Amino acid sequence: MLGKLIKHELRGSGRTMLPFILVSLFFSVMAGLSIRGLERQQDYGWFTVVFGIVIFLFVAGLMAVCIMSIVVVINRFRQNLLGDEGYLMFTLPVSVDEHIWSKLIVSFIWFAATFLTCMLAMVLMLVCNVDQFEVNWTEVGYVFSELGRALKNFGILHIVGYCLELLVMAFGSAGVTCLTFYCAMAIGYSFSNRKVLMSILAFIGIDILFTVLQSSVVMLLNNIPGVERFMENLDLSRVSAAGSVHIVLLGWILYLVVYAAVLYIPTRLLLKKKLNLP
Amino acid sequence: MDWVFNNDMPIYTQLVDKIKLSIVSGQLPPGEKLSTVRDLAAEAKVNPNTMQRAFQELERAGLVFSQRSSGRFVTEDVEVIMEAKKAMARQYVESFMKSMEQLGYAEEEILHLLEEGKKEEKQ
Amino acid sequence: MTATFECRGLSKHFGATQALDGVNISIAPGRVVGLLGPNGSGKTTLIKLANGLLSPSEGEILICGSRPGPETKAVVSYLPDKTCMPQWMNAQQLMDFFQDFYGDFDRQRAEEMLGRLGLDQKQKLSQMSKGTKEKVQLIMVMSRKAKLYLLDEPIGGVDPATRDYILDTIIRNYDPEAVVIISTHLISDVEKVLDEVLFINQGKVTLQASVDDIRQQYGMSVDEYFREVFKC
Repeated sequence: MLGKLIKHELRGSGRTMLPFILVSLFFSVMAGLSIRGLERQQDYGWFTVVFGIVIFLFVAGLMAVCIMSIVVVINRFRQNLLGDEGYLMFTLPVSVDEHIWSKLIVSFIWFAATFLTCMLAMVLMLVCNVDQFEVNWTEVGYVFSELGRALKNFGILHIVGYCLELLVMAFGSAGVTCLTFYCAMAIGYSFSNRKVLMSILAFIGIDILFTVLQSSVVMLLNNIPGVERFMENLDLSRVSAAGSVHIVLLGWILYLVVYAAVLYIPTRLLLKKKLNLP
Repeated sequence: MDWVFNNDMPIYTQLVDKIKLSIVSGQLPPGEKLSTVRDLAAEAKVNPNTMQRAFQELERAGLVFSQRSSGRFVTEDVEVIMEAKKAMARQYVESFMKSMEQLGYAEEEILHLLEEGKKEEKQ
Repeated sequence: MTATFECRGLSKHFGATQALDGVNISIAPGRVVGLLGPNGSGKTTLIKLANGLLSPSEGEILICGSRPGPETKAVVSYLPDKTCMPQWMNAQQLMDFFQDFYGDFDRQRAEEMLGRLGLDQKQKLSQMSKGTKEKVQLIMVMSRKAKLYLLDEPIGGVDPATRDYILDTIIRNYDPEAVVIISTHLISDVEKVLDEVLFINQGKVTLQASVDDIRQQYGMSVDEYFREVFKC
């Protein structure tokens, strides 16, 4: 069922996201060609103005894609689960967890797509810009030999580990961002009126709460007598450089998981027990 | 068939009466195959259970019979239909007489009125 | 045989408001039941509890013997009193959706009913008239071979022809193993389609009886009897 929810969710959100992505990629090609055109222009005729506009649209397009990814995340949750469509969605033979996870996964997919779009847009713009795609092979060779050395130093296993950890971190961060919005909306929409206002207030409240929580935890850790001793005894010199990177990454992941869980639990509870459909 | 119902009687009894009327008047001839309960219920805009109940009553009265796979049919027994027709006619006469008596007419006057009515019709 | 729909001492309150108070109901399979009561009597609350959209404050509600959850949602088909389907979808996509999530969705039946309406399957919901939208929603709901159908005010706010169409669809899709609960305040239109009625007022169920019994006992239609009972 989760797969089906994801499929349906991709369709529902793709209708909005894909046009933006395609348009911005189109503008990146146009911008690349425009820069080439600008370089060739001798005088500043109306041609230049058009090219200038195209380049502006390229930048605006990318910004729009990034903004839309957040807008879609918020709007899909609001419209599909908290609006009239909620009558259809919450009577599906699906658990509340599956609903939340499908939205989280699809949101992450769109964040990744936005990132890739920006990368691709840059590449396209550059490719359309240069007359001859001359590769400085010496430079490329140098980059690869450096990479090879780094690999040997850390070992391929570590590199793979880092990549996985970074991926999980990316998913975790995206999850925390989405869940902050979801939790705020779940709270806001549990009220009978002024739902949007209460959602915004909840969002601000959650932000403040977590900032306070984070600083409290750090303060606590600093002041508990045992902690400093514990850190000393942990003889970190025994851990290799590679290992310490893992510790940092895993530590951050743990922090994200706890953060996400603290947001997930009330969201789930509110959707299950305090669903307040229009 | 006219599917207008009044409010003071259960629907299924009214259904029984209406179907009985169609049978005795010849609108549904003997041996005629009847539509399914579902189709008739949809036509009459009534609950299928109610239509089913009406048919059960008609089966009990012997006016209708069902064959396992082929469906429901009007009985071919013309005598049963005749009996039912007579019984209905007697009911109509009874209620007619009661209404007339309520108006204050005696038996002889009623017969006189009937004859007058016949003459007018012929004209 | 387990009752399809059962409430035991069911109560629901929202803060200080008591929406349902100690409701006890049992409905056997094959019945078409009218949930009749004035606005605000608790009809929609009861239906939402059956759907799992709300949870009971006290007591319990059982669908085929189980508490509302994903398993009961798979056998309950719900028609809310508003448009709930994504407006960007067309009829074909809607059928794909229902087919995906509900194992009991009879696509052939749905296609047939849509065909009889003369509907273009590629037309988006947002482009349809209100009446057509409601018919499409009804078709999707009635094309499922569910154990419990919950229709919340299916005929309010539609023209008489659409009303006839809706009642016709309900009759034609009748399933002797299922229960159909129709919540409405337009009783005279629906009465002939009902087996039994539940009178509900101020959160309490005051009567559960068959339509025939009421007519026989009181010599009047359920609509007339209802007006008597709920006279202001």
